[in-house]
Amino acid sequence: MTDVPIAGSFRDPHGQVFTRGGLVHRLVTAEGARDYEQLMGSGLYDALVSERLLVEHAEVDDPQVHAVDAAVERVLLPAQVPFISYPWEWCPGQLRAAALATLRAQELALDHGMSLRDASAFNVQFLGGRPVLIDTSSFGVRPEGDPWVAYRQFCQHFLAPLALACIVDVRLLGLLRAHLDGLPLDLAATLLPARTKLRPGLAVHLHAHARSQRRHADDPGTRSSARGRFSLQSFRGLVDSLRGAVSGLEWEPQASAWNDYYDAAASYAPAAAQAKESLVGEAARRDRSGHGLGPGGEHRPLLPVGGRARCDRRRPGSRPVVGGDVLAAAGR
Amino acid sequence: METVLAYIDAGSGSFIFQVIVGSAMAASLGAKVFWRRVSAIFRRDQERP
Repeated sequence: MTDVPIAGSFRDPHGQVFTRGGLVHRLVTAEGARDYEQLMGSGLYDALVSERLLVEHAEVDDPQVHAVDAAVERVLLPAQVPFISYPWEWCPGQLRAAALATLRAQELALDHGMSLRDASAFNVQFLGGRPVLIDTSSFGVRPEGDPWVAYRQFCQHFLAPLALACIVDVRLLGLLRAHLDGLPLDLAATLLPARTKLRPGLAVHLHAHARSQRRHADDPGTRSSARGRFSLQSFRGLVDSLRGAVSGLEWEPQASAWNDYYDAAASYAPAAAQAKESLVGEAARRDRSGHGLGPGGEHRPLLPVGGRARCDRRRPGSRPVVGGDVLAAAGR
Repeated sequence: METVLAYIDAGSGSFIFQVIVGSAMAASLGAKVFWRRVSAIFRRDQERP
């Protein structure tokens, strides 16, 4: 069986991804093995999987790959994600849920002496309607005293676009398509209204953070001078503060011609509405990811487009309604 | 004089920024945890018949 490297997997040479027989695999090199052993041996993997924050995997016994490449230590076969989605396709509730899942994973990692090296929104996928981290090799042993190497990435991938979507215009999520490394913080700070400087979370993590980036961008000694000066308690405080900033962002759908598309307007004759319900219901049965589908008032099971505006609404005391929640609500 | 060759590193500002704000965030989290514990004691007292 031929191994086919995935072209997009180039950033982490110690945990590259390839397909074999149509199944995605991940290899762990000898250099990445220390982090992997810590992930598995410290109990972090079990904690993440029990909270359904990390995709499960099995180790594959593969003498063939060792013969070809001696640097490869392990081959992992993760649970397969049937449908890959991208952050600019998500509604704000999904981006928010993905951000909170990333922070919770980071919190657990700190409890086990590790830290996320990447906080990219591309590392999160929705499985059964829940955000799940898919990059097993993004957990590394935390260098004592170092700040969070992925802090800027988290702010660019999650906080900045979420703030713009919730406070300015939801269509600004489309900017993520143009900025694959996340929204530049100075751009986000410029686009956000001045009143956001009064919100502590945004004032610190976006506005002041963007200023600090500008000030130190051409100062090569800054990074090394910051090493060894960041305590674990500061790290926990940073993650907690980010969670507060993310949790405070909620998207309120604005009035749109689509809001009452099915309820108020007689857009469909009863027979046509029935036919559409059957069609979309059948599509949902085949693809359980639930992406791009949402509850359409009385018109269950599922209706697209109009439902998209509703997928960010939260039931009191529950987590955001996304993907699989919709399927669950429809009794599937 | 030593010449240093370096490319612009957008992460430098984020690194030093975390060190600057980290202590305040640690203190804020500490206060939050302390408040939770204190309020939990009062809640327990109220729940007692």
